[in-house]
Amino acid sequence: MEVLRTALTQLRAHILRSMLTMLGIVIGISTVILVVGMIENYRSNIENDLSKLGANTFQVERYDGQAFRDPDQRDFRKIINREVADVIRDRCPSVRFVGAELWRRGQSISYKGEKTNLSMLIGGATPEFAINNGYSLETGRFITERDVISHTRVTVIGMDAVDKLFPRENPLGRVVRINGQKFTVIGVFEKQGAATIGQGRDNRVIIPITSWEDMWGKKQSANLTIMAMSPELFDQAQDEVVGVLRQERKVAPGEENDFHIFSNASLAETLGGFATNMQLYGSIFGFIALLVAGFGVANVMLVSVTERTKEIGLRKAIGARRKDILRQFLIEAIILCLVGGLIGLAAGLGLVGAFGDWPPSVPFWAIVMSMGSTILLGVIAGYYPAYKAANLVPIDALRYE
Amino acid sequence: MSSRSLITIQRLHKVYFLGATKVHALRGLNLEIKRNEYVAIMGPSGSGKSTLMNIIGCLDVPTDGNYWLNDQDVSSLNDDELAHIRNKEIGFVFQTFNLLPRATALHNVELPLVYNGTTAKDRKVHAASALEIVGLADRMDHRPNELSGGQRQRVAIARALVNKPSIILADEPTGNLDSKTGVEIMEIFADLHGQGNTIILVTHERDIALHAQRIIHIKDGFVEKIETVS
Ligand SMILES: Nc1ncnc2c1ncn2[C@@H]1O[C@H](COP(=O)(O)OP(=O)(O)OP(=O)(O)O)[C@@H](O)[C@H]1O
Ligand SMILES: [Mg+2]
Repeated sequence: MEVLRTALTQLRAHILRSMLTMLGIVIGISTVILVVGMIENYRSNIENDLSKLGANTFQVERYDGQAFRDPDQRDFRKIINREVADVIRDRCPSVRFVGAELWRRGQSISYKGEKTNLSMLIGGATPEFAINNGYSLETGRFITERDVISHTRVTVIGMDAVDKLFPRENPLGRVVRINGQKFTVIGVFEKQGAATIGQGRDNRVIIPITSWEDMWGKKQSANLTIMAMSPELFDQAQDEVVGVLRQERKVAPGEENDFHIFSNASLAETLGGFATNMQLYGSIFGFIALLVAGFGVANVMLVSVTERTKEIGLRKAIGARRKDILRQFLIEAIILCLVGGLIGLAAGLGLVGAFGDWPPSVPFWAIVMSMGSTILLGVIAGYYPAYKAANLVPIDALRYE
Repeated sequence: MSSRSLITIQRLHKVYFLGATKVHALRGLNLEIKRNEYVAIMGPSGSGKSTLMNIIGCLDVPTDGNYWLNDQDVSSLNDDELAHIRNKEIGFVFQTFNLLPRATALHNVELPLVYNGTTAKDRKVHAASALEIVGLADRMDHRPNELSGGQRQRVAIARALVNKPSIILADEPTGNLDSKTGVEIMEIFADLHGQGNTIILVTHERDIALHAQRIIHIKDGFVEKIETVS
């Protein structure tokens, strides 16, 4: 405790010098905390999103996201016929569910004069939609095979529509207007929450795919969602589906697929890899900053030892052992680093909170590791100066001018 | 080697090497000092008084010769054992006080106790009573720059006392003080001697030396003569 007191006295006595020395540590630690915290936030949001999107599922679309924006590639692909889902169902043993979806963006739906804005996404879907996409129902039921066969005018709506049209009413059994047509609400999706990638999923309004076609025709390309029998059969299921689609769409051997197939798992992998890289680069930057700071700490401790040679001599003269002096200077170096580390931690947490949610969530391991490395830095940077101080001959140190 | 003596020094040599030149500060010095003696050391400047005091105080080691303290051969001790002796057996009073500038008087006096594991509470008690002995009970919370030279030297004496050492060594303790303050400091040493302490004191002033029981005259690194004060 006595050593601690001396260390803090020293820190206060040379406040400017200490602050400048700590700056590198503050920058290093706050960067690491910021990067790790942001990425962790981002990653957990993505994982959360993706886990909503039905596990074990992949999708088939006509274009991938990139090609969609590139008109040169766009026109020559045939639409994906929703009937191909039936072929897949028949001919792919590793596939468990096949769903087809048709989408209409920028729609509004209304109920008794109340109208949503034009952000609704109207999906014509088969019964597999809910399970393949990981939607659960808050109340009511989902669209059935019978609804599809008999073009029923029913709909399952998301929370955006519920919040707007049915703030205090139970929507079940109510009749809403979609594209001017009457549909009875038979179910409500659970709240999905905000999304990190793409838009939120609460703006979906689902009707039987046949009813959708009644309104908007059969010219639009369908999206297929396909769930494999098991995680082990995931790749096999993809191969089977690719085979069937190539055959159905008459793609010649050696030619590229004229459709895009992708899975949430691959998406998650890409994004996760990106996050890991960012974390790595952030940590490397922080590490370099700490390394540089370490030289600063060592330097300042050497200066301190020289300045305080007389004091060291006196302490030895009245009975301090080598290890007492060694410990004193090591602890001073550690405190210097740790105070810098704590300031850096506070700054990092503040930044994470400012950019993300409050209170900031930074993984515990990052906090422990960063504080651990500042302590380690103090030991490493402080050791040589402390060793030098400990080995001074008392009388020489006392005589030092 | 007499087991009666607190300090026995035989044929002590100290050579300083300054590059190529050698400075022979002590040349075969012999000395015995008994428990509860009050001894003054005098001699011309450069005669080796401080060198001798530093060796007695275990702050420095001789080049040759023997030094027994309390029947213990000091040259056989390792670094930690020497630190222990400096802490427990010796109270050193320096000409330039050597107080920690940022610490209060009380804290300065506590310092030797820090290095022998005395608890914080006991440290305070012992340090306060040592300051009382030197008449500074009302200055405990002052820092050195808030004290006069004489008061600083008293703090230093309290620090030398606080561990109840076998010997108090004082190298020109009044050298930086005016003569009136010097007399006050000498009264403290007289009291300490009266209470059974062993005191060795270096001085240039005969008046001061006359407080002691014996005056050891040193010249060119050895004992020229020993004078007994009547
Ligand atoms: N660290 C040192 N390095 C080299 N020479 C030294 C050292 N310390 C003392 N000396 C030399 O040793 C001799 C004795 O010095 P010492 O300090 O013991 O003298 P002193 O009797 O205490 O003198 P003073 O009365 O001036 O204090 C001197 O010639 C001095 O120059
Ligand atoms: Mg001297």
